[in-house]
Amino acid sequence: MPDPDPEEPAPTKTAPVVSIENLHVHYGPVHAVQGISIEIPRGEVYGFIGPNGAGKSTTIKVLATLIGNFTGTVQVNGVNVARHPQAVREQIGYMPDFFGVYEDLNVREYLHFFAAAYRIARKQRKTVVDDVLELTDLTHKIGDQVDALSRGMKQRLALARVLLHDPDLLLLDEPASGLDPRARIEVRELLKALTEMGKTILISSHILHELAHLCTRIGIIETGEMVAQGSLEEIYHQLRLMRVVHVQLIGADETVIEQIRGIEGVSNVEAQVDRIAIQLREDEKAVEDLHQALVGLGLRIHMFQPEAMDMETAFMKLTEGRTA
Amino acid sequence: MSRRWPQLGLPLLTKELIEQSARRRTYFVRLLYASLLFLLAYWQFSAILTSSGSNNLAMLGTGADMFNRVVELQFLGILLFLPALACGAITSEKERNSLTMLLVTRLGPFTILLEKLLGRLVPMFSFLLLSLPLLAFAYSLGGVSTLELVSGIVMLVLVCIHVAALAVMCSSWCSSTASAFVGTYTLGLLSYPFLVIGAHALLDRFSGGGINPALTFANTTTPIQLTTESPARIWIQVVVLGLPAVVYMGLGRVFLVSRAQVVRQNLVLRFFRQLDHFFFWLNDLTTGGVILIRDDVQLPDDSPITWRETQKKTLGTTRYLVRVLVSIETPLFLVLAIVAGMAFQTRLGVAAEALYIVWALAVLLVTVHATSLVSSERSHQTLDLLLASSMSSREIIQQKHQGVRRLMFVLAVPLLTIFLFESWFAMGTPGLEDGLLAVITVPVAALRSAIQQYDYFLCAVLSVVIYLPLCSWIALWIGIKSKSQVRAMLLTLLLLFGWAFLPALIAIGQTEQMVVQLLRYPPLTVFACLCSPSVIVLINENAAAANLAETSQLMWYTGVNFTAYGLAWWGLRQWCLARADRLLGRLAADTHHESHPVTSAGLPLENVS
Repeated sequence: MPDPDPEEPAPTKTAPVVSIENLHVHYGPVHAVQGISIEIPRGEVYGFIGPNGAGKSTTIKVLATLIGNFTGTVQVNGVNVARHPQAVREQIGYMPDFFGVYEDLNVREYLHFFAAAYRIARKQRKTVVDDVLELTDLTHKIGDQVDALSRGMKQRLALARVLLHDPDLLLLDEPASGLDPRARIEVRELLKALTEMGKTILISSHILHELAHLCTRIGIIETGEMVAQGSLEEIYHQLRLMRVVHVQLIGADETVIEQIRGIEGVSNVEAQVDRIAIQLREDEKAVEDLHQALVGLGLRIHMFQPEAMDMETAFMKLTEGRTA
Repeated sequence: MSRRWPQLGLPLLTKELIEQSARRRTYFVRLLYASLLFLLAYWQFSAILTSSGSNNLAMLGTGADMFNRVVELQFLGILLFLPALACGAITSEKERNSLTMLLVTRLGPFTILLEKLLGRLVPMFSFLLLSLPLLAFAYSLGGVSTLELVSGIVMLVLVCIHVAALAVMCSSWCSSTASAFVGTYTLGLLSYPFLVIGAHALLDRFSGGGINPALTFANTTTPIQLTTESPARIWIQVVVLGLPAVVYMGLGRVFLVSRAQVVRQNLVLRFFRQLDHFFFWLNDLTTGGVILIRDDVQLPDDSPITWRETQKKTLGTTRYLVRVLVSIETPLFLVLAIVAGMAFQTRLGVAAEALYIVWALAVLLVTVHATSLVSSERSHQTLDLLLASSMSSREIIQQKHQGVRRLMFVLAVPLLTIFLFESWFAMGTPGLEDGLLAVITVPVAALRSAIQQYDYFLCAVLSVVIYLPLCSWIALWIGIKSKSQVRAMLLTLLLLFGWAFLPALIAIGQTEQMVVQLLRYPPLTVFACLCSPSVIVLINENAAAANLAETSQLMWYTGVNFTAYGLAWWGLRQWCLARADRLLGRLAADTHHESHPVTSAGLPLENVS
């Protein structure tokens, strides 16, 4: 049973928008979420990463008040989800990993339908609907049937829907899944705009480099357990990931490679067809210092290319491909 | 290059049988089938043994009659159960997107079709085996020849193959199990008279006499005839039943490939659009295009789900409800008006038959609509969106039900029409002889008749007022609990068929005698009323017509019956609303948290059957 919480369901602006402590969820015999704890301060974009079946959607569904059999404490704006789900619903905008289509409604009717479901006053509905349509750049599609929209437009419409009641917290489950590159970029830009508006966002995705661009913090989850969380830099530091620097040197031979191996902070040097890959312990030597050291050895540098820190590497290192 | 020899593995059949054996539903259906078969056989055998008197020797030779009854029951069972069992053979693969994977394997299309057919026939044959003890009992009483026994077994196996082939063909053609289900029963009903006429025409030609097909159909209503004369007669029926089965399989083979990727369509919507075209054409022809009620769709008010159910759904909008009403009311009114001038028993008989048909139609429409209320949200993946909104679960269910309420009001009209006509018929059709004035005098007389026979009319009206909502809440509840709409629909129809329609079916042809027997024992009557909602309808239709019961007696039964069923309706409604959060798989609103397991789809674990 979740911990008892006697307080009234009044949202507090000082509390973290999301506070999850020791969350456990069971689906029959399957222990889907095993003691996850997350805290998301106001205005933060939290990326949830994990393989299929890791427990991302389940955790999001708990926050969306759609799952009852959990233990632990889950709060949104200081309001306990288990005790006051109705109050929590007012503060969240939930976008599932599928697009629910009402084939008989057009875009205007679809948004007015959900505006009424969120109890927005009848007089305000038109203004609110027009605003969210403008924000998502769908004003010109207002009369179109929902099921005739492209997948990218449907995702934008879904975002418009979750913004109708101006929630503090957006729960976005795989919003870029199945989109073509253009639609994906459009959704990413829209999410950036929402971040600038001060919305707190919890987003799950498989497209790791997109989360890297968007999120202020990341949580990596596998078989229901949180394996790492923090800012990207913190995760890389935790993993002690080595930076790879690709260089092309004029007249590089075995002697040069041996010289490079001797530089402090270099852990490995590999001669490739047209370049040399240098693995660098960044906590011991910065990339700029490596460049300085190569010049100091009297080497003529044709190309110097540090490899970007790779979320995929971090993900693969942290997870083992297990499922609950 | 070495030659690849065909290997006899039947992988698809093996998979089908393993899947079926792993389902609880298989054993439930088998138990249900066995229970119904043995119950009905017991009832039929008892009647035969009672009629043969108390002398044990007189029972000898009655086996032939019993054998025929068992074969008839199994024949009925095949017609009722097998289409439902077999119609999902191919559509289930289409719905799971696995048919194309099967088609690219080394299994040829015909092999797939054949293995699917066998996969559905095996459980049906196991149902046929259930009657072995009954057949043994009948055989032991004597009168059954070996040829008759062989003929019976061959005929039942043939009917199974014929029906299963038809269902598999429909399954190959259709995109969803629901449409294959409807298609199989419809095609089966349409082809049935031709089979009967064909079978009897061939049999008659074989025996050398002339035949009037219409008379044949009227005299005997099955295409199978057990023979005691010649094995050649069996072969004729093999041709009559087997040849269409071969054709069905051939067509199924063609459809399997050509319609493997068929896109799902909303058949109800298509049907109503066709109906739209017809009504617009009719309106243009008769009024020059005058439209009295325009579809003026407003944006949702404060009850968005009610708005969608009544403004956007096919069976909820005023326009389509008027169409449904006109489609039922017009032919009904014409038939009742035509029989008004006929003999007393004839007109009452026709009205009663019309009542049963309209009841069946009303229950079917309400069931289909009510089961789809929540299950369609689930299949369209929109339920979670509603559940994450600010609306309470109670509101969601109440607003969802509004669409069915409108449909029930519309369906109540033809039922009330029949009740008015029946009251008027029972009073001797007063006002009919008034010529043109009858347009005014007949409705007044009908109303006066209804008031005079207030006991009958009250019981009839209460049956509509209580049974239709009860049916809608049962369907809604099963719709919430079930994973798919098709399953919910089949479960509800099966439940209502067994609970409400089976007693009416058993009573066909001898309703009046049964009602007389029942009314002799008031406690038994009350018990029967509480067991099945159709009992009071049968009593009301027959007792009032034949003056079998006193007014006070009928009022007493009416009071007890409708109090009980009214309480059941109210209780079920309150229970659904009180447990709305849990039923819909959502955290209970502002109450102490209670754990209850759910599936990964968000469906409460208790709902998964």
